[in-house]
Amino acid sequence: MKFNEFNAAANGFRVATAAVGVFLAETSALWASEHGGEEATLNPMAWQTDLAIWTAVVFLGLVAVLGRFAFGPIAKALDERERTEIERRAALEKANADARALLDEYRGKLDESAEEARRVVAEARADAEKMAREIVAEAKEAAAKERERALKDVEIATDGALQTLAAKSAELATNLAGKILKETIDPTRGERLLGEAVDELARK
Amino acid sequence: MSGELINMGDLAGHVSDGSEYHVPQFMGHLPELPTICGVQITRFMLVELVVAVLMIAIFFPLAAKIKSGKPVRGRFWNLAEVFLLYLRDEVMTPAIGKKDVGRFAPFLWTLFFFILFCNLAGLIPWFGASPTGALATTSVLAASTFVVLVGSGMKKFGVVGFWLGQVPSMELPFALAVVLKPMIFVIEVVGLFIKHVVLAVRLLANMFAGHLVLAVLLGFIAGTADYLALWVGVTVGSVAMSVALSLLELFVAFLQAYIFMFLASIFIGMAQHQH
Repeated sequence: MKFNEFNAAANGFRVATAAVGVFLAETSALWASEHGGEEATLNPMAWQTDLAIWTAVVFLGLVAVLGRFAFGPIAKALDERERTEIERRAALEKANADARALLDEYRGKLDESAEEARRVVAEARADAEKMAREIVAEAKEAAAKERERALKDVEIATDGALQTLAAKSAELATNLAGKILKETIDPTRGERLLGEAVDELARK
Repeated sequence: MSGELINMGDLAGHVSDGSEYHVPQFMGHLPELPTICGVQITRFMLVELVVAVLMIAIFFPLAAKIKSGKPVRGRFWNLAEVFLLYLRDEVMTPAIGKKDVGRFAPFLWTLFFFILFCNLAGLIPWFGASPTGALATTSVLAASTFVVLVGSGMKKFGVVGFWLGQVPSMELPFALAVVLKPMIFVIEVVGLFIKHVVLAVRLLANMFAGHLVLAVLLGFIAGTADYLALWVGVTVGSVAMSVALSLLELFVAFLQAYIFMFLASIFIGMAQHQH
């Protein structure tokens, strides 16, 4: 049931019951007057001058007193609070807008910084890779040169050794020939001498 | 009570104004209210005085709290402030306008809470029925509204301007205007008075009817006291219905205060913004 329907139904019930009440009042008053009893005074439209004056004094006094000391100051304070709140809200909205603008600005700067950082890192990485490649190339080149020099040294040393060997061989052969010429050589002795010469050559 | 269904003389004593407070029989009789300077103090007068003191006791501290500029603390004070704000922003401002509402808000707040507290006083057992169930009370309230309306209207538009402004502006030929405008003026002025009379009668009828219904329902209990079997059933039914109707009366107390103040706002708004 909607509010209006409920209200209408409730009012209808109240009015109907009140009508019964008024009817009972009238019949009862009639009954009372016929039997010499006190007449009921259930008249809602009955006028009471004393009450009217009293109500006027109390109500108008209340309007004056509350208007001066309560509702008047409350109305002003509420208006003042409303004005203050509007100003505060405007200031907050402005601060919020400023903060958002600042935030956007910083976000832009942050994005630029991130981009710059990415660029620097990429450059650094590229430089590093380039440098690494150069170092590796230089190292390889140096290693190749070292190897070449070592090979040359080996070759020179080999040549030297061979020359020394040849010189020693010639010296030995010369010495051996001298000995052979100085002594009669039998086959056994000849083999022994040859063996000694070979051993000596090997030791050297 | 026996011999008739309901003794309406007793019933009237409970519903309407009087110089005695009624308490249950086992508590005896309270002394009659005094007469001061030839004026008999009645229950309604006492209730109105208590309502006035109560309003001062509530709204003076609330004003002090709100004036401090800080938000009020506590459920009760917040509730009171919510009432004030709701009435000002949702009822008065749409009717009167934001520019003028500040001038009339104190009067309309006083009107609303005075009616509300008077209505609610009738729901307090033994405290006495609602003063708003008496024509004298509602007439004074409606007359106050009328005075505020006419006074503020004349202040704004001047005496002549206000009364002439009761006639809507119409593009009529002179011959017709001479005949129609005085008639419309009379109708509008009479309508202005009738609106305020209706304002008083509406509140009176609602509050009086509510208390009368409750009294009649409870009166049935006494009316059937001679018939035990009937009395038991009637008592249970009457009490149940009275409880339900009391809840309805609680709602009606707020509703009628709201309606009175709402219509007063509209009337004042109409006086501030003529046709």
